[in-house]
Amino acid sequence: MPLVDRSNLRPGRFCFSSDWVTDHQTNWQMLFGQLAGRPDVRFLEVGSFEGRSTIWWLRNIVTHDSSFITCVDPWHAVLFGHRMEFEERFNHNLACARLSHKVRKMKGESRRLLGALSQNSFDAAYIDGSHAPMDALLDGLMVLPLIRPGAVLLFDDYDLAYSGQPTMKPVRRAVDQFLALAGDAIEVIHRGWQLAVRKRDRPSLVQLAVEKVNPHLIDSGPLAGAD
Amino acid sequence: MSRLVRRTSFDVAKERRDYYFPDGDWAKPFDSLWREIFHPIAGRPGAVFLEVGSYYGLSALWWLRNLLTAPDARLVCVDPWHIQEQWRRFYTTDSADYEAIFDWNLKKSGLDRQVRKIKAESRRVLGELPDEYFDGCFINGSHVPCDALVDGLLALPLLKDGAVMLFDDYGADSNRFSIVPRTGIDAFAAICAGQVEMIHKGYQIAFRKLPVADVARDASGRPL
Repeated sequence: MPLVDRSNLRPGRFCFSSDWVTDHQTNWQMLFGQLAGRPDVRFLEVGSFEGRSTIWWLRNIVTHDSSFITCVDPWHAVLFGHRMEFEERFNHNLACARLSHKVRKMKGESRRLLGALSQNSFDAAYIDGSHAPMDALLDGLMVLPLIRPGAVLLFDDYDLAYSGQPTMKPVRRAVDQFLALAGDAIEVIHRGWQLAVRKRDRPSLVQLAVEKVNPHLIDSGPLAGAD
Repeated sequence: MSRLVRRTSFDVAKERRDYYFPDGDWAKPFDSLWREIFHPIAGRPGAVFLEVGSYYGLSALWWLRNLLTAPDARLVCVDPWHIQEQWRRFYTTDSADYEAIFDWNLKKSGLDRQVRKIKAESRRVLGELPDEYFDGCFINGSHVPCDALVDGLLALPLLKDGAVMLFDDYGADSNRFSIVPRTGIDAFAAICAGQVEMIHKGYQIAFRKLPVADVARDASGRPL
């Protein structure tokens, strides 16, 4: 077992290294408020970090006793070049909020875990995982079949630019591809620092079909060399 | 390059009494392309190849006959072998026959022990396969653009550095077929531009995975 520094984790006191939640509260209420108090809400969060957003969802949106949140995160010990006890902080903060029982933790990379979840089973999703364009795009494409028609999917850091490179917006690159490909299966309902889409009630068959079509069958002539 | 490869082409016409392919020998036009782009792994001991979308096993047999000729080479085939109602008109068989024909063809070849079948949707199972494990990959699953893109993105980390990923039907004519994967594969090429190089573009399209050292990065070291 690696050594874990627990000196910051004092009983009854939250431990966060940053606050990426407060600024978004109004938007989040607007986007997800109608789920508050409803029974059997299933919320999917990809990228939970220290649990600050998780706790916000649980206090404000996923509030009913029968509702819960699924958190997918590898909780790597090293993030942004810092070695820190992120998973211990997540566990500690959820325990502080007395909300641990409402969380289903899935520890691992989202590309390895999302495929195991049931289709059309989530009422809302928040994607704040890896910001590498191919990872963010894959998260969006993997999550879209998992949410119910009518559900809202929110991407964080849509407008984030890496420092010193104002034109390099990694999440935007991914999400813009996602929007183009998802086409009429979704509609954009908010576009700012974050971007939210609603999955349409009746998406086109073409966009959401998961089974294959074999054009060779339509195209095939007689067997080569056959007499 | 292709002349370096031993001539053991799999010829459906000659062997058609032994095999059964309801959709004919669709791989024939790609014979020389496949030899060329996959020649580095032909005959390589311990080579492992990934196929997403195997249908009746025609391409699977081609990989086995022409690339995976070492006794310890392996092929992993991912396919649900299940025909959904909306696509039924494109098939001449039902779901049960579909899988049985694959099994029959592979058994006939005597090479079925080199094959691991994974009967499931690719988006559900590719993430369970090990990273940097495969020497080559053929993607011919769902042709819905999003699905082709998901297959490509899920398969890329599974490939070794320098391995080739080949997509089928990139050039399929959208006026002729209701669903073509082109826009999904274009998105793959755009989003993975720093991680792969395109080595062939025609009716099929092939990418080579760049070694980590060659991956384009921004000023702070993140992959572009």
